[in-house]
Amino acid sequence: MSVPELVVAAPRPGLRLDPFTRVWRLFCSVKFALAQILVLVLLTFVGTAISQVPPPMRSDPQLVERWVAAMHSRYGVFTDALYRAGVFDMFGSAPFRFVLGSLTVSVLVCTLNRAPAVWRATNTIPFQRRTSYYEKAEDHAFSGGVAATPAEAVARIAEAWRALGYRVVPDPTSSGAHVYADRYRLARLATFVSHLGLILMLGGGATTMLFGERNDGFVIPVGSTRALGLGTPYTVHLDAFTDEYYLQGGAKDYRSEVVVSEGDREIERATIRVNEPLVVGPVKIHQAYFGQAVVVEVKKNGQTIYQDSVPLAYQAMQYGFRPVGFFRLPTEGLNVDLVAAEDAADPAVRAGQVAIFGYTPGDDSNPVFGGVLTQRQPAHWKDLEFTFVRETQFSGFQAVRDPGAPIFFIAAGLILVGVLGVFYFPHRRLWALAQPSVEGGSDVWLAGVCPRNANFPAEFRAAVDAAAKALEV
Amino acid sequence: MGQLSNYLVVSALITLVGAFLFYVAFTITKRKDVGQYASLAGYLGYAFLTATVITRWIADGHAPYSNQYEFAVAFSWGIMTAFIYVERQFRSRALGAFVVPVPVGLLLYARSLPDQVQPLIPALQNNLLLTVHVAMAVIAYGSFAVACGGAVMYLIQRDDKVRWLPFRQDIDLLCYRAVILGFPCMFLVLVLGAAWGNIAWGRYWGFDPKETAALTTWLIYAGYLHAHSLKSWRGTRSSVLLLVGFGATLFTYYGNLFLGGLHAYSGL
Repeated sequence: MSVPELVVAAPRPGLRLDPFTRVWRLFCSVKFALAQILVLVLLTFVGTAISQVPPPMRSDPQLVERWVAAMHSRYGVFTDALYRAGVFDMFGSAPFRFVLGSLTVSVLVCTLNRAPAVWRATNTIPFQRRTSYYEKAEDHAFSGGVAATPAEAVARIAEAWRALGYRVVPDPTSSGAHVYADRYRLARLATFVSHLGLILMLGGGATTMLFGERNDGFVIPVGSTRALGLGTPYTVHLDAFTDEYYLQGGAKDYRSEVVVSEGDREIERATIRVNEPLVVGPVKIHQAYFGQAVVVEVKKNGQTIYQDSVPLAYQAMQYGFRPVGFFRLPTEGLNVDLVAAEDAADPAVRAGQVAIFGYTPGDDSNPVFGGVLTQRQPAHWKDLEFTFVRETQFSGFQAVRDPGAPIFFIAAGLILVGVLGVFYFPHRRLWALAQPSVEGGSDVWLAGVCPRNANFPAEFRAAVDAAAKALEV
Repeated sequence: MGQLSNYLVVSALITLVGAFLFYVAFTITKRKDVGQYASLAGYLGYAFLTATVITRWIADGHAPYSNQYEFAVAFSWGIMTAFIYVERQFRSRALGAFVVPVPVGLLLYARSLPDQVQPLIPALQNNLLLTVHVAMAVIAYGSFAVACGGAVMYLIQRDDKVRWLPFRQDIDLLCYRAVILGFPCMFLVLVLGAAWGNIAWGRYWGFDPKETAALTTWLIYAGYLHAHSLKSWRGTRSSVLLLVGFGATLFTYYGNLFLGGLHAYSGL
């Protein structure tokens, strides 16, 4: 019995790859991209299903702590573990950003890696001169004993396909007996457009994060003027605010009549609604919320030292859920808080009243005075006289300067164009080959390729019919 | 007009239940006449749904997408639109037995919801974006429902031995076609939502639960399209992805009922 000779296999080339090539190949792998997408989906699902710290709170550790404490009622003993794992700020967490960054690198590397091959495929003419190719093609047709010579047959087919809108390329080495035709070859490049769009979209997001500015608490009481900020020299005066309701009780309209000025020069008068922001230079002002404000006057020795509307637009821990506003009297070394009733049943502050507390700057926990102001009844502290003149409203805006938004939407356009190009205009290819028939005339083979296009068999049938008509068979 | 719309919903529901029964009967018997009755009932149900949407639109004075009832009806319309498109393209009536139950279920759900015509709140008062943004969602969700029905068929059709179902290759292509119809629409949902957010709230993306759920859904279908390009993932694995994707679609649809966030207004 003979023993077969052992053959030592040559080492697989993959085992000797240098680290850079290995990493490059990893990022080129569709499986790796798929794995990253699935991990991202999982993290996003967790971030959607589990409550997230509201964005305005994230910069204030005290507010975050208070919010997390409130979450104990929902998540029980898991609350602290979820907080430490970053689950309450999933989209700002390290794992989410790492996977998003890694996927971006994958898209970039994959795009660069495929570029030469796709470019070649776009510009190379793949002539098919063997009949075996035609016999194995998914869509193919054959006609034997066509009356025309091979060159005549192919010329007629070429003309017919040209009339159908195909680009027709004759084969110079086949003496006219073979032709290639295609449509939408440039659509092969669409995959780059969509992938580059994805990267640009993340660039838009990064631009917003790094260079954008927003003030979600831009609050103006009716009749008052506030500086717009965000690097602009403008002020905004609120002439009027209106909240309208349907007969059934639902909100119908919120609108603010504003005047924008630069110094003493009026720039624009406009009405801001929820879906109709005002654009002032690089800044957009959006209608966001509204609420109660109080007009306050402070006198010292009979002289008015402060008179303005104070929006009760905030909340502070020491006052529970009551609306709070504040103003400063720097010449007196005082910060003053005004606190309204939480509701009609509030025992501490009644309708037509506001509570008032004075603090020295830097000490927000020990008021130097406190009491309740009743409308049009002055109250005194030392030589200061405080009067709650009347109630009014404030309008709350979001003022935004976002240089990333245009980049984001341009990127979205690129992705859409790329996706439509890839899926709706795939590269369609046709071939025709004619050879002299033993019975005289020609044998003609036709083939067509357009992967994953359910409509292509019908298109190929149309191309075959056009060829048959041209050949009179 | 609102009352007429409600009658039409009931008509659509009854007709689609009939269509479902005919589709099941056709799938089992393969009798041509039963298949024709199934398609006829399906088209009639679709016509009733279309009339429902139109009459509700007239009654509302804007596109009827402003609450869960209206969106359930529109979602059903989207599923039937995608189903009829795919059924005609692939001449696959068996698909009806797997897809039509979804709009039937949605219409039953809609019947359990308050159906009064309600005026738009300020946040939704953008007729163009309300119409296009939600219409894209309707088509996308509908396509994904059809792909899900196809995926169930694929998973039942083992080794092409189940005679009453189409071949696996055809089902796979059918699912793929349904997804490439819904995928760009879902992307438009995200982008138009971003555009609307940029107008109304001054931010095009805020990781709001509903928008994040929509992104998750889109990513799953992006994953499916990439998986479909791999031989090892085409077929069973990508069909499972389609089931996961439709789960995410339903999560996105119902999300505003329990996730809160800026889309919470469009609840019941």
